[in-house]
Amino acid sequence: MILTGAGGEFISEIDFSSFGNVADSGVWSQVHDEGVQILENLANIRVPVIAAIEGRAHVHSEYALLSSVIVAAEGATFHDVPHFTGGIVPGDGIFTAWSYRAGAGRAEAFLLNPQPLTARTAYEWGVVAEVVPNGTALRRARELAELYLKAPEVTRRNTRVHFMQPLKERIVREVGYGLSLEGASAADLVKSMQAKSEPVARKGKSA
Amino acid sequence: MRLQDDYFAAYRSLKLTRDANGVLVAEFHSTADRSLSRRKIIRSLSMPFTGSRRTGRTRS
Repeated sequence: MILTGAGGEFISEIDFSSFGNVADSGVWSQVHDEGVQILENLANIRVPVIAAIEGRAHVHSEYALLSSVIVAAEGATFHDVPHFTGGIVPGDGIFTAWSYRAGAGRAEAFLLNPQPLTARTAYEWGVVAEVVPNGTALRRARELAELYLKAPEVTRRNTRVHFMQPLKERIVREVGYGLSLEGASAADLVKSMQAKSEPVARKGKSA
Repeated sequence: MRLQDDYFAAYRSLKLTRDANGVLVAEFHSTADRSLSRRKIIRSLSMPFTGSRRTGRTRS
């Protein structure tokens, strides 16, 4: 299986408005539940998974890091746009995936001060397996898939299962908790934004 | 596959195609929105490969 993005990007932006009021416990409860499930389901894919990354993997790069192998184009960059810089905890699995692949120290520094990370640096960190010329990541991923398809089905399946087990255990242990912390920070952020806008609204009314 | 094709055509978050060799290509939209993690979408990612050998905490 190959994970990739559309239009020369992986996932580059996020539509925060689609999440609704994240300070609402009912809304966050659903985000929490679905957020845990998407990672568990990616971890439960029972064939080798290859990520083909072109352009910006600036949102949910952890999805790519749940692949067995990442092929990144020379111009690809990894980033974490939605979390710490925006005022919320990176608790949706991005820390779990990056610390598993790159080491906790690098992951913490990357997520506390998110800057675009080049494909070459991600390669040096051991996150990316291959850096290829721009526009060729998907083609290279298909070549690897063809290679893996030469192994028997049970071997392909069980190798993926075996390789994923340590990361899967971390996802099960950490992501539900991380999303609870993220939810608390999101609610606090909404509250502080509302508090800031209230005096302006009141001033507007009295004027 | 027809129903699944129709289903995914309705979503902008994820496009699934399968090539002649049987390789499934999951293409994310460049903008993540809430629909990306909707229950039916997230099920679809692992279902083609899950079969009857489900283990762990899969709840989908």
